[in-house]
Amino acid sequence: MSLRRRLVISMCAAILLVGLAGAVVAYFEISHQTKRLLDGQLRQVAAVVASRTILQPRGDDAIQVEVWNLDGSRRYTSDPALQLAHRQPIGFSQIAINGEPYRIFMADFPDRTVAVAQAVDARDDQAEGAALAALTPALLMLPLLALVMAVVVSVLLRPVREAAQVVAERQPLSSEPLNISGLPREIAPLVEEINRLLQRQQAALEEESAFLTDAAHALRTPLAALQLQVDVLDGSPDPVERNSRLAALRAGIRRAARLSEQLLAVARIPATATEPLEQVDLDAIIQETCDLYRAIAADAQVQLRLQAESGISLRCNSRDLLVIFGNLLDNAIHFAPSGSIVEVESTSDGVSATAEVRDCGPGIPTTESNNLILHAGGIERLGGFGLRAVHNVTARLGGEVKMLSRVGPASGLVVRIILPIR
Amino acid sequence: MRVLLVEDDPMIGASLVRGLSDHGYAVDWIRDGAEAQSRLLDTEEQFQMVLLDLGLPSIDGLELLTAVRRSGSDVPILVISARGKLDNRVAGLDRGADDYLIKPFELPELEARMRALSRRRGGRATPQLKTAHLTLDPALRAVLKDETVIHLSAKEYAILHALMVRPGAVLSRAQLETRIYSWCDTVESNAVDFLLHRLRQKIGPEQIVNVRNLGWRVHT
Repeated sequence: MSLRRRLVISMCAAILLVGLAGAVVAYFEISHQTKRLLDGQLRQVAAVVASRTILQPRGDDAIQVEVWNLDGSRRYTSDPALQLAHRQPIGFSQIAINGEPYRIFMADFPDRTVAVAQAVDARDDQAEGAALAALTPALLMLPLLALVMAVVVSVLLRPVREAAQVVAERQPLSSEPLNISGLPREIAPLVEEINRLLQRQQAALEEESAFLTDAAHALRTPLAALQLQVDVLDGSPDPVERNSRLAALRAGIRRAARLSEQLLAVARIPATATEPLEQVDLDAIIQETCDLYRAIAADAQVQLRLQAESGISLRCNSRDLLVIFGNLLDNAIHFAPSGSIVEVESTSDGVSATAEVRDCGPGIPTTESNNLILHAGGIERLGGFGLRAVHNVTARLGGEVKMLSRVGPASGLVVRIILPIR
Repeated sequence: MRVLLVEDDPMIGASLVRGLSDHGYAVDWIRDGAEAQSRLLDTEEQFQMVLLDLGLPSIDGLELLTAVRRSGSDVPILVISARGKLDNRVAGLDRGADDYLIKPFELPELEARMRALSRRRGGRATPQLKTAHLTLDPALRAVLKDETVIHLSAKEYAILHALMVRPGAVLSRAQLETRIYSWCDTVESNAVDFLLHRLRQKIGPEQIVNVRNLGWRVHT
């Protein structure tokens, strides 16, 4: 149910309730006052009767009068059927005459006793009539008040409704912040939160879009190679040359497959940790990864040399560390010339753990910064998207990736991972 | 036709060398930007076409392009790049590329663009090269002598093509050698004579005229 409808209904109910309660109180108050007025009238009639010497029947039969002499004999009655007793209590009282209740005012005067009676029904009719007459305009104003209230609520809620309209008309991926000017102070924080959410969503979308662009770009080179390898397949009559071209095509397909696997691996990395953290032994993970890659290294005639300091415990996911070291080893083995050694080393200074994977491959030009390497053009030459996966996971763990050229006579790439120990 | 291929990807480079060599081009393949620059700025080297990748080690392809054009060279340069965005293409063409082909592409399209470039460079609108009796169609790699189809080997075709690009122009032995051999091919001393001999047998000895001490030209 809309806020507006809720407001209107609850306010109308409140108006009705308060209005009716007020009407009831007013009704009784007015009828009470009216009855006091009527009592006053009885007193006045008694006073008038007392001052008259000649008593004659009055036209008004709503008020009956009886007058007694001091000796108790009846001197006058306006209605013979009345037959009031002479010694009623002085003042106001109520008695039944012929089954009908009457309000009596009895007063002693120097020369007579006067009783003035009025039918209770007639008094009640008068009191009721007066009360209703006074309440009618107030009761008529209730629906009017409800109507005004509905209009006021509607006007006050217009900014909210307009904001909702703006949201409803937005393009699905629009990230433009919602306008909060003119919104009531109660709604503005909600809209600000929505704006912040939109910002985060936009950042995520941009990240994804950048990844897709980079991925499409990175796929172009292997696809171009495949296209050309297919184009030249039938170009030579020499069977040896034809076989060599076929082998090149196979290698091209393997390269494209490897890149697509790396892209999938990066795409699967969630932006935030989804699994609970655990204490993980760094040397155990490095040992496990090296064991996984030993066969691949042997195929490439590359030797893995491991030097892992034991007792380094990190609070993270073992899967994250497997992604990091798996990709680094894959990359290093891929670029290491056959017969060379890939070294893996881990150390700790108590605050952070440092792991290095060193190969004797082509390395990186010293002019290129880490940022450039992570740009699609750079990583293409450095083993594709695997390094991007390493970068993303390391960043999520609060760590840092550094790419360095190997110091010394041999060329080579050193990837240094620095992870905080928590 | 002698082509300088500047491409750092080993697979693309190897396939382009194979495909273009199949069709009679002499391809020199360089993987490094700095080396390509020194080769292109060397006036001794004569390339009829440059295929240039942009993402290169040491010197970016765009810088290379700028340097080559600044040196006054007007060698036709065809950029082959994975950078396919509009501003990349505009930058490439504005810095002096004659054409821009986005990876991945198919070999026939690359060759058609190379032919179109050399056609434009020769000031011809029609794709065919003609003398009085000979017609050479670079697109079909076909040679006709008075409506008769002549079958030529890739190197024979390359020699005839070099001579017919500007009919009547005299080409020296060294010039012909650079048109048909890349720098990694071993050129035997009488290879050009041998190819010319075979060519004359196929198209008629009078079609290629020997100009003493200068070289050869086609009979116009």
